[in-house]
Amino acid sequence: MKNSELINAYFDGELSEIEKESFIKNLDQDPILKQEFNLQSQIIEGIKSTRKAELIARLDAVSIGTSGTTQHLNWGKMSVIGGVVLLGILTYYNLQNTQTETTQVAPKEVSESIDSLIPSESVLSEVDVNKYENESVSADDQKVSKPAVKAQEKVAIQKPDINKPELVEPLEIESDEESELIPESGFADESPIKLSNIDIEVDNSKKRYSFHYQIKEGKLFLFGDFDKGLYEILEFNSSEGKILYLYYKQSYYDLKQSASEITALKEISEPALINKLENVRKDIKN
Amino acid sequence: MNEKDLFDKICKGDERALEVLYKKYYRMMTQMVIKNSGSEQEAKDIYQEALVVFWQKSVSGNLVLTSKISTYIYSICQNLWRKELDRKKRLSSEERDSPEFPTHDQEERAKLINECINQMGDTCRKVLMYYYFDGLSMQDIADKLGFANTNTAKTKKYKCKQKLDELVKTLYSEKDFLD
Repeated sequence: MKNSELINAYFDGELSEIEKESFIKNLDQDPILKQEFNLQSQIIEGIKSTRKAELIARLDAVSIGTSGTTQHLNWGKMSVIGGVVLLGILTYYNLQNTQTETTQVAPKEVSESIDSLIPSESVLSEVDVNKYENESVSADDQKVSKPAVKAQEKVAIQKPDINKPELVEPLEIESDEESELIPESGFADESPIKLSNIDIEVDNSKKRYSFHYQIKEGKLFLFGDFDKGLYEILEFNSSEGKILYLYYKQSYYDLKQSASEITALKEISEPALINKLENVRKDIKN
Repeated sequence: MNEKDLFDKICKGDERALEVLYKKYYRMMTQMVIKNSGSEQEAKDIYQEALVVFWQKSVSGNLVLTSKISTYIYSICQNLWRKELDRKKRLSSEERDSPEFPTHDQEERAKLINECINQMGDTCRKVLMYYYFDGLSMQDIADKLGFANTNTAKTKKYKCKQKLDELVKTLYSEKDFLD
């Protein structure tokens, strides 16, 4: 029997016990046989690994609903949170006593003031405000039953500038807007505060990187000794993409999507932004 | 879908049934790992690993289930996690400084083989994966892939394996992996 046939018979379980023993003995004595055997082992291992990876990828693609170390909100809570955030924004806006320019759309002004708290990429409040503002604009056409939206409507009445046609244009709010705001299950992609379901991997094996991160192929790698269960990832959706923040040991850190190389974690020091993130976290926990 | 139906489907190689199972017991299984000092990612990995083991046993016809599926999978998860915890314990701080990574050559070979497998046609890939990983019989492979009979499946497997061997040997030669 040729070497290759013998090796295949071995891997296919076609050798008797005696033949198997003899084969194993020959392996030590015949380097050519051993080389071919090693090659076949690698090939068969490769086949198995490929299949295993395929099955795992399939399972990975299954939507579970709750994943990661971040929490998952239902839409009832989301709408309340959105309303609380909105009231906070508008109260802040009022306290800041910004100008109501007729040439500017009120929500933009509000979001601009918010942008000073949150990095410009974040349209968290902008989307929220726009959505709720627009509801008030087309209140005649739609029934708005959410308390947050009702509160916003009252505020909107005080600001006639809100009723600008420009408000409607960027937003593709369907007639069934309520269901869009409150999907039946899970998070819709258009959620402003979408709790991150990004895959996270903690790697404490690299001494050189003790407090670093990397975002690669949609996965977040944290390098260092991160205590399990003590970190959270907040994800904000904006028109320019996702914005991620890490909350760990009472500090917030910016996670840039562009960090494809291992990057040191930088603590956020801006008090207004920290305050905003704290409020969002507290609302989520409640 | 009740447990028996689910198990029957999995034994027949229905991957969608595996997905249903995965989702059904995700919380239960991952909680076990998390409550035993595992991270969510580790819990997910362990559960997926356990399900793959369960899959292999089931489709190969080597599993006679005498308990609930969840009980069985739970015990696989426990074993896997225990092994992982033991492995972590064994790693001393010195070992942690220089962990055992596969050599560059080993990685390159594995990558090459993976490339060769992916270069093959869909049917060849499936025949080889069903045979070597899923442990399906030639009859099962013939049924699944629509071959006329077991001899056709056997011939197909032989030819596909030959083709893969040649592909790998060619690439290995190019990379000087063969002595």
